[in-house]
Amino acid sequence: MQFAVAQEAFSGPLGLLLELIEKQELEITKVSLAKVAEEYLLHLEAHEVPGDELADFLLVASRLIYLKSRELMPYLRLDEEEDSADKLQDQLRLYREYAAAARELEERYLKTRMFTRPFVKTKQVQQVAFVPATNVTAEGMRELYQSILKRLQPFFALQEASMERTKSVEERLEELTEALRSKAAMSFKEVIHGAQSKMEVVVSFLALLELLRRRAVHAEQLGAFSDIQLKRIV
Amino acid sequence: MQNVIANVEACLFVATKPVALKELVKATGVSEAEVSAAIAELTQLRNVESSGIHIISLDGTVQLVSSPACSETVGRIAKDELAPELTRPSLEALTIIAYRGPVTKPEIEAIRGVNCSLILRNLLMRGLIEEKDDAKRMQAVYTLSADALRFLGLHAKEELPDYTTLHANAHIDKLLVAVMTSSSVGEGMAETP
Repeated sequence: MQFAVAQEAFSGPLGLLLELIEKQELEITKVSLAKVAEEYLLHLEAHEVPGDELADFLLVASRLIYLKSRELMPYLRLDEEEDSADKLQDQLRLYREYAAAARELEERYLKTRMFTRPFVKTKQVQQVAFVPATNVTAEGMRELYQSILKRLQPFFALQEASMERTKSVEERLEELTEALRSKAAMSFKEVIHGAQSKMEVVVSFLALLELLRRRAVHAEQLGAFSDIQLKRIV
Repeated sequence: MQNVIANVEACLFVATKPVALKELVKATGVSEAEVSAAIAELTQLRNVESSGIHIISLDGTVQLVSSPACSETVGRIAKDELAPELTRPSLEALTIIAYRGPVTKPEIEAIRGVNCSLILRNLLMRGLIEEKDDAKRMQAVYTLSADALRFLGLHAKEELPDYTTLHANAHIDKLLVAVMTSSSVGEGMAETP
């Protein structure tokens, strides 16, 4: 039988990671993950990663870099990231089970395949014509189409919300810059005065953060939840 | 009973493709329990070394196929059906679907740690997997096709090595839940337009 399973350098980010760990005969632990971090990055540098998989490869890379940095600076620990390190471990263990099963299936694939009789058409003259199924009705199609639209709704809602936000952060940024140009100092309460929604307040705050990052404004807050005083930096 | 067995076998012989249990009930005119019993008996009768014709069962369908033991011989005269080649990534996705099916795309991606849109489309096009809509989960689920089962030389999914361990195992279920709950590798990837 022909060789049906084509060999590839590695199979996704977890495949690469598992290969590196197994090559060094290590168990799957956080320590061994940190150990192979450098090799993983070197591999990424040396090999072309398909575009649609790049983000997944980089995500694993970022987790490895975090693990490595934590090994170097053990006092820097965040609970949230502890969780993500655990997860990478779990995910790799889960992947290992199925990667092993895939190797077994590779051994079987086409080795003892079963055949069926090919479908033989009777000697009929084939006529090409539009023959709608008897259960197709206009009303049925309308319902089907509506249910499809309904299923797409969450997706569109998501897109709209994110577009709205990016647009308005930029707008707010311009408005704030403009306001600060005419008035050298103001408070955040003034900025959000007249805001229509919670979202608008959040957007204003994001715009303020961006101004701070650009060092266009100086902000001072005396305590938690107290008003923020803004001063223009000339 | 003998009559039902013979009728079921004759139907399967003529159909040349996987036949749903329901279709056999309709054709034979006997109850589903009787058809199921006939299939079970036929399977016992046929799936032996001395029979050149075997029965495969998958997700409520049955099909007549050649015996896996005759693979080489039959391969010499039946050269027309090309079996698709598999790359390592597609083999992995196929394995996950074989063991865990019906399984959703996010679950497959959580296990493989990488976006699988292209691979799934490819496996679908080559007829190795099937896509169904799962109304409860509100998304598509993937299962192994009867063709894939034949290419692997298996009579049923349960013959996959370590099927019980990898199909529904508490340890694996727990790992999958842990991996799926927060943002995992391979998740949140943009769908290729």
